[in-house]
Amino acid sequence: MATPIVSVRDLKRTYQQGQIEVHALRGVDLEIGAGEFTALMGPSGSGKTTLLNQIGALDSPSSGSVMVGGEELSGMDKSARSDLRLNRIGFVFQAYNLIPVLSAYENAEFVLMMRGVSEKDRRERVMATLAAVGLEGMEHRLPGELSGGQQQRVAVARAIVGQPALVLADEPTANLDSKTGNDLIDLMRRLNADQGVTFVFATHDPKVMEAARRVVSLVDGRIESDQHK
Amino acid sequence: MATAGLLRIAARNLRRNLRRTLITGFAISGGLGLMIWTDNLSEGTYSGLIRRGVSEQAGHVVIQADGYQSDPDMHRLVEGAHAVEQTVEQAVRTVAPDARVVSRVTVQGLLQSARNTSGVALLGIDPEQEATISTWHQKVVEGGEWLTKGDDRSVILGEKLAETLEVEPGDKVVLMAQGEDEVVSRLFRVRGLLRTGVAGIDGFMALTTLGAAQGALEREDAATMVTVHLSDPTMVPLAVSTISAAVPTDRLEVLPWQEALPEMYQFTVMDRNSARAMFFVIGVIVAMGVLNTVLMSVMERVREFGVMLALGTRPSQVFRVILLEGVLLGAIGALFGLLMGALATWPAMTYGIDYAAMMGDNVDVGGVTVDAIVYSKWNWPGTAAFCLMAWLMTILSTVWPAWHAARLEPVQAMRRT
Repeated sequence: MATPIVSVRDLKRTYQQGQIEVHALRGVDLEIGAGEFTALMGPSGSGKTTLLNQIGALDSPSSGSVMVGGEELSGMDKSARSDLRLNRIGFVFQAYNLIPVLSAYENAEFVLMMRGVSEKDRRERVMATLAAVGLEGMEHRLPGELSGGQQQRVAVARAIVGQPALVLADEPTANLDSKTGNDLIDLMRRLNADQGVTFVFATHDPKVMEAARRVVSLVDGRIESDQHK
Repeated sequence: MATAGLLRIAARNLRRNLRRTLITGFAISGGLGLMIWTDNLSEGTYSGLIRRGVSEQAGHVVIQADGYQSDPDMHRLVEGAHAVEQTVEQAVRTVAPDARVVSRVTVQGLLQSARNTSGVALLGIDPEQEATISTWHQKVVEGGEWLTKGDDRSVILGEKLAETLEVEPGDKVVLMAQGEDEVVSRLFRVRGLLRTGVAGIDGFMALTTLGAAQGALEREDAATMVTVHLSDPTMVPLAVSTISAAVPTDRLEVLPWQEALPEMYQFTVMDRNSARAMFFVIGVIVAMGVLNTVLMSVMERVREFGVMLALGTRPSQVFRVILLEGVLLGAIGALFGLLMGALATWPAMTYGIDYAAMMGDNVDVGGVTVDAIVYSKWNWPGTAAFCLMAWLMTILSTVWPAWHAARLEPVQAMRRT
């Protein structure tokens, strides 16, 4: 395996739902190398999204450790986690989650702007990324003026424009029709192959699992299998 | 760089729900416009009141015998009034070259006609000088005439006083007053009647020449007060200190109008303070409205803030986005409020507001008539303070919603629909 970008050790996450303790992760060990195209699969409630949120520094573990790009996440304060997400991780969400008041261009530009990249560099990188995801000519459209597939492409552009070490995608094709979903998977495969972007998916979609070079299967908060193709 | 991005989002968020933004902005600007209009109208009222009070009752600076203010005995006089007047004039003109200085004598006595008798406050004035300072001469009722210098046998009576005495211009009246040693009586012919609208003046006041009033007191060169009238009222403190240095303060007191007319001054202070308290309440009500609107708008956008936080926006930056919305909304509200206040003030400044129908005869403050037509006057420091207050209160009302948004956990926030 290449140098691990993600290193998870004995990760446990327990939630309290009223009187009941929910063990979402029951001790997960996982390493993901640079340039991998990995799918986390499993039934609902298996812990895929929880694991993705832990890797993405969106949630804190109950115990265990998560390292991203060599940085240990536990012990980081909110601002440090924000900075890590901004600089090292790209996100693609199931419901696109674009900022509705910003155009496709501005949504993709958002991360670079928050990083303080100069306007000239932002323009070059955003235009190149939008072209790479096939959205040339749609830069000025607001999310409401784009189809679901186009919105998800903007979300992918936003996730990769900052050249993060890792892109985390939570059910990226779940809201898309079959053809649009296939197109999106092809796009991400291409970005993985051409630009070396590391992708980790949480998915139910057999097409994503088919496209993935590694499939990690989760059941009841534990890794059941880890297959490299 | 990031601030520009946050500002862009803040501006777009305001534009996104334009109707709500306009209604909130209108509430801010409406409240502010009302404050500016009311404050400028009050300023005009105070200004007119002070101008009249100063010209008719005292002066911007008053020089009187030591102790007169606390015990206004009519025999407590400024001795050598002419010399004092000259000294004061010389001193005050070093700081205010166009200042005017006049002497006045007040005599309390009884006025008797062929049919009736009434108490009277007789004011001795220099008719020519007085006509350049006060407005008494403009209030002489048709059929009568203003006093002329040296005509020490003429008197102008308050209209109601003349009714009590049942006299009219041309009739004779006799003044009886306590002279230096014994009761002095003086015969006067009524030259005209005075109508001010103030019951205390029209019912008990009479005007005569300075010489006649001095004669009634049997004190040739004495005055109740020497008054100084300035074209620039802000010069009062300097004028007081300059005059105090020039006159013998062991036997004379030099007072600014605020001390000489305490009732009127207190009225303006109290009225201004109660208006400010009312403005503050209006400001708080508007701020609560803004708070409610911003909070509602934040609640609607919880998912968006969750996304922003997930993408790496710091909580402090989310806080700033909402605060910037307040900055923009407050600035727009303040700008339009200023415009509305200016548009409302302009006609009140140019044409005035006629209160005649509401006021009746007896509207006065400390014996000073309130003008029936009140003209607004720009109170620029007040206007600037109100605009700043409206802006700051709008920003302040976004702090809590902003704090709420900044504390969101991205995962939970993104689950909200």
